[in-house]
Amino acid sequence: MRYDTMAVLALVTVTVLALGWIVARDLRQSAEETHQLYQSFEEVDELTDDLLLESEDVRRILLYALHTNDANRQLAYVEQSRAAEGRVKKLLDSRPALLDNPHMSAALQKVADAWKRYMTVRDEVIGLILEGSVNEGVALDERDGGHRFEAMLTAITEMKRTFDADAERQVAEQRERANSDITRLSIMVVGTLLGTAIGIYLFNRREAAEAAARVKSDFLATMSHELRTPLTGVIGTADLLKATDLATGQRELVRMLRSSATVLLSLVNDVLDYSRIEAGLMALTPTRFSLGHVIEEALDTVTEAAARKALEIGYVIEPGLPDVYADEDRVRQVLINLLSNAVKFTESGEVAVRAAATVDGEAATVTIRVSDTGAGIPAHLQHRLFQRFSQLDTGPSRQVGGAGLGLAISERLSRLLGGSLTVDSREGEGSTFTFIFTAKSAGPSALARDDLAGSRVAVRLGTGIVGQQVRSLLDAWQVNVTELGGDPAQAADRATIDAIVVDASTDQGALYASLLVNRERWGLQHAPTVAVVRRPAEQGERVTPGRVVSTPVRAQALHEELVKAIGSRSVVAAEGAALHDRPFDRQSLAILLVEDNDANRRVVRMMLEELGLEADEAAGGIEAVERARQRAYDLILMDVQMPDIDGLEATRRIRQQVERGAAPFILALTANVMESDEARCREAGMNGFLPKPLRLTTLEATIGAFVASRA
Amino acid sequence: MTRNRLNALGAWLAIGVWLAAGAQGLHGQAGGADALAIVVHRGNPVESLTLSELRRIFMLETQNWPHGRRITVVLREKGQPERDEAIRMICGISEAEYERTLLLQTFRGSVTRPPRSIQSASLMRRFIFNTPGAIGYVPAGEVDDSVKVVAVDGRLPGDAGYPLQRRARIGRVNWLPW
Amino acid sequence: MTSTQMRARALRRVLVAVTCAMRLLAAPAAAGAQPVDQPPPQDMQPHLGPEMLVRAFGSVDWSATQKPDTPSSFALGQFDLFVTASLNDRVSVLAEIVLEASGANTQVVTDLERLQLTFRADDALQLSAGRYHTGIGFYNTAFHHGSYFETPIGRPRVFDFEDEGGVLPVHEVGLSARGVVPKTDGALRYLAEVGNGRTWTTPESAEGRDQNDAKSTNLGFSLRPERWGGLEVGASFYRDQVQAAQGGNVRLRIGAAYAVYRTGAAELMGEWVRLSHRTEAGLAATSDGGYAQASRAWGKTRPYYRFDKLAIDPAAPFIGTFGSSRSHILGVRFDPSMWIGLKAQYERTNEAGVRGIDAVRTQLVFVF
Repeated sequence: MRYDTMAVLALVTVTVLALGWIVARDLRQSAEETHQLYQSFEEVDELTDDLLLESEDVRRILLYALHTNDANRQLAYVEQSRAAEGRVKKLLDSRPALLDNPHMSAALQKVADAWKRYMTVRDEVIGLILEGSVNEGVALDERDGGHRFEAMLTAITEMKRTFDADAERQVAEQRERANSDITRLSIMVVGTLLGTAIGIYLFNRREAAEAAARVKSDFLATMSHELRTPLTGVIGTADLLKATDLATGQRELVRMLRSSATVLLSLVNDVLDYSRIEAGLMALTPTRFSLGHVIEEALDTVTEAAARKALEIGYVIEPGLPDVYADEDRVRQVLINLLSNAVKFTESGEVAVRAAATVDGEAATVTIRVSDTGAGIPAHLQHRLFQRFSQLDTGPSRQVGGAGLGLAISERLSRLLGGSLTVDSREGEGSTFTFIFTAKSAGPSALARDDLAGSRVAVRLGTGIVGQQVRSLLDAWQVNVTELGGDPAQAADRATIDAIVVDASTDQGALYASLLVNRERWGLQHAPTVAVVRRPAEQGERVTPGRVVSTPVRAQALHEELVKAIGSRSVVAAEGAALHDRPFDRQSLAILLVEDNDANRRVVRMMLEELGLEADEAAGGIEAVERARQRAYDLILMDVQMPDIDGLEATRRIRQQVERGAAPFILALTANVMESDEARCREAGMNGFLPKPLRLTTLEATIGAFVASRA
Repeated sequence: MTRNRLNALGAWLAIGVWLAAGAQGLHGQAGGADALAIVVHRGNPVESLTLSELRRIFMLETQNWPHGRRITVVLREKGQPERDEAIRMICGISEAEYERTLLLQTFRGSVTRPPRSIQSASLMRRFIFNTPGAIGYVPAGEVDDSVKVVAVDGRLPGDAGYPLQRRARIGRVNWLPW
Repeated sequence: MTSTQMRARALRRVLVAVTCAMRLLAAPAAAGAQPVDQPPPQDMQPHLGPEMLVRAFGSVDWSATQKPDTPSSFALGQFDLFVTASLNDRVSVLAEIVLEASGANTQVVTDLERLQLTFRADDALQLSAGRYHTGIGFYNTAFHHGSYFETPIGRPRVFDFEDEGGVLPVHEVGLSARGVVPKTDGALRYLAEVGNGRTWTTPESAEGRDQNDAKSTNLGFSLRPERWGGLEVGASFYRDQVQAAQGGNVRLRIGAAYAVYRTGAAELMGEWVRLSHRTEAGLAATSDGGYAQASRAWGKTRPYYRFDKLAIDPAAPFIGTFGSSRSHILGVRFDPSMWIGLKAQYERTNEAGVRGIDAVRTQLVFVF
């Protein structure tokens, strides 16, 4: 701050000095101009005086020539007169700059003309005198010379008068100019000084205000920290107390104590956050994260509250949303705040999170909308939403507590994240909070999965957020989705259904019930089911012990359950069919399983176990190459889509490094089953491929063929 | 009577011959330095004069220029050798004769404006410059462009055969015009 | 003008005045030269007014003659006061007053010999009005009364002044026009005069007033060829009607011719004048006269000779009684300085009936 002040002071000093210099220079210039003006006046005055003197001399000296008869003396006088005439001519030819304007030039020209006319008479007079005709000379001079001489004197006087008028005008102009100059200068100086004073004053005020604010923030931060420590202690102590032997009444008291302390702590945290933001101490630490992940984490925090209110919650992510670099914690904080508000103020319906992004090169602008079907916010109260300490009083049924800082903090955080937080709400129609932030795009999401691609799944879902979420996830996994419900004529396709996903959380399980009822009719009695349930209340209620996923649906969980479901189907199918009694029966096949996805790997391993086979596992292409180097495998099951190096590249490398004995038989595990893919695999050196999702029968058949070919 | 007459005639003849022998009104043409330039006013239209015209002007017989302006003859001052030389060169008579002739003409009433006398060549130039009808003379080397040189018999000073040269053989006598 | 400028200008004027004064005080007194930026001294008046030239010619004579009853004597000669003035560019005036002692030196007779106003148009025309010498022949208008200019003492007999027994109307009152005929290179000159003519009936033979209405006219010309410098030939014709004493007019014709060669060193002159009178009655008389003169100068000395002849017809009216004569004059003139001349001559005259009169005359002439 001190430097700022010094800089400002220095600037002010420099400005004042510069102004002073300009003023001085202007004044000096003006004085010089005036001086020059008067000098030129004097020049012209001198000119006229000299003209008068010299021309009078010309005449007078000439008349002296009449006083003598001696030709030499006459000639001497004549010469003297001519010298004076020369001086007159020189004066007439000299043109001081002030005579450059047209009036003056004209006046001077008149004088010159009059002089010329007199000169002709004068020359005649000289001739007559020198010839000896003095009388004629005198007569001519008296008759004509006198007139013409007078005319010249008049012309000179005229010129002088014109010049005087001109000069007056010029002086007046000069004075005008000087006045306006001075006025302008003084205005400039006064204005600048005033401006500087005001600037300094405002600057000081701002600094004082900032200092005050800073002091406040510092105080708040310190105090909040001081407050938090004992509060955490209280909570911890309450926890410890809870763990001891307590009577029911005591337990209740401890619970209330803990809950109050927790609320207080959260209030203090809010205050701390807010003051940190206000103090400018909130620093962002960008990390790479997946939006789906952070949304899920945020949803986790409100799951219980939502379940208690029987609210549907879920999220939909726009397909192709990349991972981003941003401050994950802050984004999560905002989302948690928005979701908690949404759940708080929604009595029934759903709370949905929708995420989308626009990517422009490396920069990504992420838009997350949190919408609820709550009471809505009246328009005249919306502007107060993001102000601190504001609570929307929704009437006597005020149910919420808190310091009222949440949205304020979220709004500031969103701005800090380079975005904004806005609300769109109508009373009675719910609200949608739009949270926008900017981040750096970090490449496609690591959660992309392809092993469900192509499987056929039937769904029995509602239209709410849960249904939307499931559908969007299934679409992202390129699953063939068949909608159940309504038309029984679709029964023909039912046999090929791999699994069913049903929403058991909405409509109080009505969809699930209808599925159970119609299952046989649809021919899906054998299809494995994944049910979406609401945690925790509904657990175990009317659901066959099978796969369940609880809301909010986590993509990973759904994927796993689906995979398991489909896998178990083939297992079941395999069981239904002539089950080979472990056909390969631990034949000495060195198998390497290369699959980066843990779940998938587990599934395949299970299948191999079913077949009586053991396999080494590699979680990535590089590990696979390394293992292949160390051990000569007979069979390698190579997943193609892998993050470090894909299966094709690993295959190539393995092929390159093969030294001893037979090269391994490499099978690709891939979801892409088009001809070109097949060609690529063969080119890379693969011997065959297994389509995903993997079926036990296919696996068995393929391995069997391989063994047979070896034998 | 007749003899007397014859005698008288013979005497007259002798006298005439004797007189004529003395009269050699010739101007020498031997080249010599120091020509005399005849100068007039710059505005005078006259370009050239014959020697006889020049004589008549300086002897004040001709008193008007062809364009009508009065001729003002300007000589050097009495007592200056330049005056004697000029009179001798132009008119072929001595300065005393010139004076006497001038007086005679004044006496006869035919001259009312005697020539003007100037002290020096530069003053002569200045005088000529200032007087439109004036005619005078300066040594050829002292001519400048304030005056106009008149050719004599078609020749300028410096040309061969220019009549007004110093140290030329001049006749001892010329003539004494009226 | 601001007060500053006025003060500056006043100061400048003072400085100029002081400088002028200093220059005046420091003016060099070079022989008669005045610094010319000074006005001329107060007592010098502008030379306005006609420029006058005044000259005086004087002569003092001494003569001794064999003529009976004529003792040698000094005579005062004449005092000829001659004034000429140029009134303006073209007009000049000339006056000649001759003062003579008459007879016994007891009276001074003042004669206004000439008074003429001349208008000079250009070289081709000079018009004079007044009293002037008639342009008959050469001698009359060449020498006027200026004895200084005449080489010998005295005029040729035929050109004697009227009051000395001259036969010609030497003086005239009237108009005289003369000039150079244009385009003759100054060679040909003309003369035309008209005047009162001479009267013989009054004792003084004045021509101040014409007696009759008949004016005299005179026409003459002269030629001065360029090739022979110094030579002049000419002729004149004079006509008049003179009233005779008895009444009636006498027709008078005078013709003259001359040839003159004059240079600074030598002089050769000859003239011949013929007068013819015819009375109304038809009586004609012819008289003539003339002279021949020669002189040559050596330095300041100039010997001369003149032969002078006058033959008068006794029947001529007016002049018949003047008597013819013939004379030889031999003399010498000495000019010791510019304006002084001393003449001495010996004359031998044959007058009518009287032969061989010798006379010696001397004359001192001067101009100032």
